[in-house]
Amino acid sequence: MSEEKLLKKIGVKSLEELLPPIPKELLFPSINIPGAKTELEFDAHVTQLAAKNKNVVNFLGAGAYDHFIPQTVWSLATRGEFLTAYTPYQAEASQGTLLYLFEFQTMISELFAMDAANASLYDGATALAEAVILARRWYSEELALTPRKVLIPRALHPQYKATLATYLRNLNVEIVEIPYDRATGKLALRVLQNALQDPGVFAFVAGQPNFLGILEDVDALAELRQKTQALFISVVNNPITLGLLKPPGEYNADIAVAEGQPLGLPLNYGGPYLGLFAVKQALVRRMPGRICGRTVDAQGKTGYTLTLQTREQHIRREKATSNICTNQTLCALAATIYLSLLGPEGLREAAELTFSKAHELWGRLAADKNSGRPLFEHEEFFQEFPFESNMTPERLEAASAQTGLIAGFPLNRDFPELSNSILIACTEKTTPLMMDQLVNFLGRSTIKTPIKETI
Amino acid sequence: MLPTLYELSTEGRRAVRFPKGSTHPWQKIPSGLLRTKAPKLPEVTELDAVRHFTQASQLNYSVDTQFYPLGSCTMKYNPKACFRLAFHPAFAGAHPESPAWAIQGTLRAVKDFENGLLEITGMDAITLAPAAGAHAELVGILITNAYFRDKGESKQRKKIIIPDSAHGTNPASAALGGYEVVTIKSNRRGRINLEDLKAHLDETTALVMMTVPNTLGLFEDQIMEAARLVHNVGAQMYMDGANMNALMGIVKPGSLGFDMMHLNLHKTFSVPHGGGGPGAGVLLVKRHLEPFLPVPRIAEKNGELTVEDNAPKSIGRIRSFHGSTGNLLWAAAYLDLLGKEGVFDVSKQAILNANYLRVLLTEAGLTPYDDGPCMHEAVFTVDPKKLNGVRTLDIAKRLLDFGFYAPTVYFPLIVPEAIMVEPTETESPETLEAFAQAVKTILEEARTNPDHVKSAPHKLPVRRLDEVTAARSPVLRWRQ
Repeated sequence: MSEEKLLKKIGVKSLEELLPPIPKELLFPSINIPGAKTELEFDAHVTQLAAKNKNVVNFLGAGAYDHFIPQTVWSLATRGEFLTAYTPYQAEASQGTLLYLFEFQTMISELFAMDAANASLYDGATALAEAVILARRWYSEELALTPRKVLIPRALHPQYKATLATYLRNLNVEIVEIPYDRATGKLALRVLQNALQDPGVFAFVAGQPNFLGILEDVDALAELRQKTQALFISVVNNPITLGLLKPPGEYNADIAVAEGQPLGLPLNYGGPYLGLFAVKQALVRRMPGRICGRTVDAQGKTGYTLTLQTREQHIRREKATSNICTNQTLCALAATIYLSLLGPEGLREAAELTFSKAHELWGRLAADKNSGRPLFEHEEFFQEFPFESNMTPERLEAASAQTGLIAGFPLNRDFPELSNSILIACTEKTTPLMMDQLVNFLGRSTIKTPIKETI
Repeated sequence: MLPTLYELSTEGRRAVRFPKGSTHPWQKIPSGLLRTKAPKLPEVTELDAVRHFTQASQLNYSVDTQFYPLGSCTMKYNPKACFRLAFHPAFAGAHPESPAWAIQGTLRAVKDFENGLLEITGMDAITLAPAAGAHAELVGILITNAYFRDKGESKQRKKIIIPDSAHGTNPASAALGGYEVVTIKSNRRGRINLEDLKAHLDETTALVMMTVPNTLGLFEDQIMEAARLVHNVGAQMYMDGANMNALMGIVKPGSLGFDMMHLNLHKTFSVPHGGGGPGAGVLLVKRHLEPFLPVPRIAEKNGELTVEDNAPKSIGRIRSFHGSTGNLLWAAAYLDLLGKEGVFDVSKQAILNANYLRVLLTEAGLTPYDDGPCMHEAVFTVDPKKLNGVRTLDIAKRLLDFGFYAPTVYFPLIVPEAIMVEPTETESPETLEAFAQAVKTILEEARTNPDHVKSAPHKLPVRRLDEVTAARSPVLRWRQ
């Protein structure tokens, strides 16, 4: 028996002798959970659970997108040597991880046209919070000023807004919302311009596309950035759009953040996702989180190591740039594999196909008055658009549950002014049959017969 | 070293093609919004990519290939059966905005897991939203703030007390939460110094953060007295549960006086570390703090599960969507496979293994920080003066040549030349013996051929790396 052997070598008779003086009544508490399952039993349990998740046709986007994932991505990313490795603190034994993080940083810098990227953060929402905290600190340290206001668009992901509010609550920062134009869905540039006159503003945030899916005039934002000292933080709604759209570095963003999930990560009911974070040169040493750098070994050979660690919590403790210890290394690996499989051409094709599908669907819905109407008449959107349905949100919800078709993300809760509207998203995976089903579903709003029978 | 994918790239090569779609008229988009220059991404075939990443993987040490005795990091084996749940398409394909009726299977798995964790810890309520342990700490700190704001005491309670042996994330999270950090010294036994604690405790204290077992691998045997003192001044007690793999089935933190604690699912609950993440933290609280937990939370009514985010006293959201569900499912599977009996066995074996290794390494010539039993890990120190100038880092690097990952070194900061080893419950006695033998050999080498140790590693893809230059003039991306 190995237990006896261990006890003997340790020089005790029982486990109890090794335990600290914990009051007897607290020791070895009963734990009321089910007994151990064998793998065979567990397999049956998983099958049962899986059957409780409904197989749905859905047009949900709103910050998480069902893009195609090549088989190769996770075949490689789940190799045990990647999956079960530790944070690469012992660089010599972690060159595989460090090499792909270096490639990841390069690809993200290229994609965003920024000077440098870190090796990932938790997700898009926390990346934005870190960006705002960086901007404030930069202001107080570089300019010895402590302006308190950050400007954010009303049409920012509501969960990003909420996360930002939570992070900033005790840091003496005021969040000011800039409205969107009710006719176009675009950021109200004149309001933003006026707000930027306030010397109390240390940063402004804008999304491309914005949360409503609408494309912003980024050149106008670039011009505004030139006239202010406030830092410009760009939120890229989906990095795949950068296959076609002008990247943040080309419109003067100082910091660019994004949710990296569309780059090869399964939807996974919300995580783990991947926070992308890229900066202009001046901010490199202020980036939060892990950073990998290229260097040489004792014999002059190329190698990779974590670097700029003096910013990090394990060295600077309460004076660190952030409290982040873990990042999303494996998710970054999936994105690196994804981007290398697609290459520049594949990324452009994925973006084009996504764009085309969304615009085809928009056209079909715009032509069918029975279903409602797209909220904005112009077609300046990328992959999702708000649509004013003829059905109330309650009826839509009930119909969805009945038919298994989820028409989109209901906007009424976060945007009460858009009462009957949903945000409809496509990806390159959206099929003509799915579009037929949606058009049919929304078009049947006035018909009394149960929807189930008609689809 | 392997070339980067950029060096392998050849114009026109590709791995993935998409179907030809109807090309939509781009004229509808103002040209000023479009990209003019394609991003420079590698252009490779699928086989190029497969070989590159497979070869890269082989440059790593991992739990699947090597023993990883990393103290406080708990690099245990990750059972493959957990894949069944975590990578099942019915779960992996679920959109985070799916309505509750479409997602009952996911919610059920997660809810059962919540209940299991509450049982193990003896706490009353839980959030699974935090992305990592440090993220959970921040959430705990924000909850503390919300709790005192609710009581009208947030203006006075400005400081958080943290022992000097704590993880660096504790003070960093406290600062991010807007607090002043007060560090207190450990006593000579490596435990919290109650006198020092008393000296700093007053009505300006919001929270005391303690790691149990602490980062020296020692149980805080005065914890209940510490909790009494903290509660006497109206402050809250936080447990950094990074080392919970030593306590499961042995004692419930909820009965020791803690108001809050976090667990690192990538440690105790065996979610693979992934080369540095994704991890997953969960935060557990006592009843009086439940109203302040972040949203959303899962609620159950008549067997139907729903996702609720209406909680007026909540600190709000701490990230997008619901949490790292994929990781939660992995950990949930692990707990299902362990079951009632297994959780205790894990801690028992982790403690036995750690003490066994402590004895073996002491015999091999390392000096333990503490001469008594340890919990799941043990800290040692070396004296370079007695080893021809060979330092802890050198020993760590030389261990890599023997096929072992290096232990945690120079942490905790309070131990000079610290080496912290954690065998975890999944290693066999034979592996631990081989590891101790390697340490013994290296200590002999230090006496006879110190330069060989100081210049290690010798057998890895690269020799010791120049980290100073890497930090002075950072090269953070490939360029032609």
